[in-house]
Amino acid sequence: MTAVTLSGLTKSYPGATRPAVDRLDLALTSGKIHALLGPSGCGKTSTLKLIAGLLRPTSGDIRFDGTSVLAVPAERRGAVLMFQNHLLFPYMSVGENVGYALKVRHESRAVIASRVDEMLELVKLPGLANRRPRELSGGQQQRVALARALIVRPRVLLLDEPLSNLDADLRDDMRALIRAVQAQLAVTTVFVTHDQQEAVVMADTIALMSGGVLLQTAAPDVFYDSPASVEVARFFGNTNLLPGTCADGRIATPLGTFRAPRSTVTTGPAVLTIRPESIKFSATGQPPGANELGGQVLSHIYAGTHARYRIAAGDFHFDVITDAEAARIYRDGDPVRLRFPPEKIWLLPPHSG
Amino acid sequence: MSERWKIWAMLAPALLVLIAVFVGGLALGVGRSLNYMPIIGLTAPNLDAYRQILRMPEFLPSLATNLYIAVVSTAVSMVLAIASALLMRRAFRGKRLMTFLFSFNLPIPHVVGAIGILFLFAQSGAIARLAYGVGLISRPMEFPVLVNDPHAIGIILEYVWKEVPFIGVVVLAVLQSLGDDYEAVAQTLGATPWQRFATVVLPLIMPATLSVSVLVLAFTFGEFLVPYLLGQTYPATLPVLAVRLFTDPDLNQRPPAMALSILIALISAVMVVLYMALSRRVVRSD
Ligand SMILES: Nc1ncnc2c1ncn2[C@@H]1O[C@H](COP(=O)(O)OP(=O)(O)O)[C@@H](O)[C@H]1O
Ligand SMILES: [Mg+2]
Repeated sequence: MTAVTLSGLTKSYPGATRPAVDRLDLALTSGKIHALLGPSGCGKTSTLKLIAGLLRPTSGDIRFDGTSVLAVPAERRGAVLMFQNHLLFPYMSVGENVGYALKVRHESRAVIASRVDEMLELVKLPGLANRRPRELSGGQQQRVALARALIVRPRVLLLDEPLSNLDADLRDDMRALIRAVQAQLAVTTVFVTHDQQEAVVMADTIALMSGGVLLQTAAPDVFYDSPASVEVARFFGNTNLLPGTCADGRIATPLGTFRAPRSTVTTGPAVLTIRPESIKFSATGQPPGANELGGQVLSHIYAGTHARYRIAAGDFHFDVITDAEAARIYRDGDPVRLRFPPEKIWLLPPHSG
Repeated sequence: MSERWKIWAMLAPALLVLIAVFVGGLALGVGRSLNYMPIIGLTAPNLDAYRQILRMPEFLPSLATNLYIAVVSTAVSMVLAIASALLMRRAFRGKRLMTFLFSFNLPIPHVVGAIGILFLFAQSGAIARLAYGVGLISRPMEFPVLVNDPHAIGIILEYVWKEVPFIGVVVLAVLQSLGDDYEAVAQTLGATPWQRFATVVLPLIMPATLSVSVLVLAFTFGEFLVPYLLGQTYPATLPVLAVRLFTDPDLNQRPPAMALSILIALISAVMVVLYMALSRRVVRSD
């Protein structure tokens, strides 16, 4: 069990205009799965390689259990990396692949053989030691790669988008397997992904990055309930933004004043955000009441389990997700009444992204 | 006429010429080596020419020299090619110069290389004169014999100069297509630099390296010009011997010349097959 601390971690590639990783501060508690989430090119892989010791930071520090590991070369750091591509050695059997880390440590054949069997058992591939990697399916190859990474009980397990080459159904199995194995071995794990859904499902905490910079670190639900900025809210699918001015738990907007007790801003300019699934709507009957406003359906998509509406109100558009039943009732062009429940509104400082 | 037939019809003249040259030429050569030439009334093929070749006192020493040159040149070229490809995939000072040298000598013909070696390394050559000039040696004859020498140093030097870039370009392309990730994984799993080279890089580049080096082996075995210019007179390599017989004013030497040529081709083919079988085992057992 190892806690990992990154402080001021910076990596500038030669010739690049701005750092790939920019003054990253991150505390990864021991034994948990931490997702490193962000769009492609935001510096996730670079961060993993820095932790692994494959890259030398331009500045900043990396500590395992409080001790700096910058002077420890990758081969002795105990942070094992697994990539999107399984990268099994094609000229070795499955067993030789899994036992590789013990082989380079000059363990005896007997020890290696028994540990390999143990690991293949753990990833639910018993008895495949003598196969060649190319004889396995994509999902099996990725599980062998996981077994190979874990055979020496690394201090830190680094997973770089390990599921993105797999089909959707295989991906669910592999997620469950990674979670189960991780829980059993309690190895501190960093899980890189660009898919927020995957981060939410897999991780105990999520660190959201953009352009080399850390935007927010928190438990998954926090990203939905109280994102730190407009940019974070957008990344997590909250596209409903309404600018205004707040004071005394209320926000005055071009569409009227809303009660909004939850806020990062106490007074002054702010942006009202509310998740698409938190907006309620109904047929227009009586005039809009408190935290309500009138609108008109622009378009809608029926998605089986739910329906997605786009609704115009004044000069603004709102995305609303309702149960699928609504699609039978409300058609494009229908006038509707929107309700923003006060406890679901979240006020953010304007223009941080 | 369908499209496909049209294409065949258009290709036919060229194909006929090709087949006539290759099959016809080969058949004539084999016939001649068996003393089979119906045009001049020789209709009973025999193995006399082959017997004559195998009884030549020079045959076995020549074969040994040939094998020695081919194996040593190929091995040395392969080792140097791998080393330089490993160097060249990383940025370093002088990388551009090295890349230039690599691509520069690919189109230079062997004869130019051989003459260059002659000018540089002969006892009357530039380096010997330079060494004499600065007083390293007191007479040009003290300069080590590197050309027309019993160890075929000159020949091997020429082949290595020419073949290192040839193999190196292939190895470099393979290294670049593999990327660094295999080594990165091995490193985080605890492999030291030497272990990464021996257990990851080498086995990954071996299949391609062996496939291209077998071409070098076959070429250096069958090449005539370089050993003709840089080799010693006795024992000469087999191709030099074959040309010597072929250009003999005595026309009776033609069948043994053909027989020797065909023997060279056969030995070369056997060597290639053995090499491929061996290299497949090397690649698999690693
Ligand atoms: N070896 C490298 N040399 C130069 N720039 C690089 C290198 N690796 C990555 N980068 C750049 O650094 C940035 C972050 O890359 P990366 O860490 O791979 O992001 P991610 O894994 O989030 O997609 C990108 O702009 C990328 O182009
Ligand atoms: Mg990446």
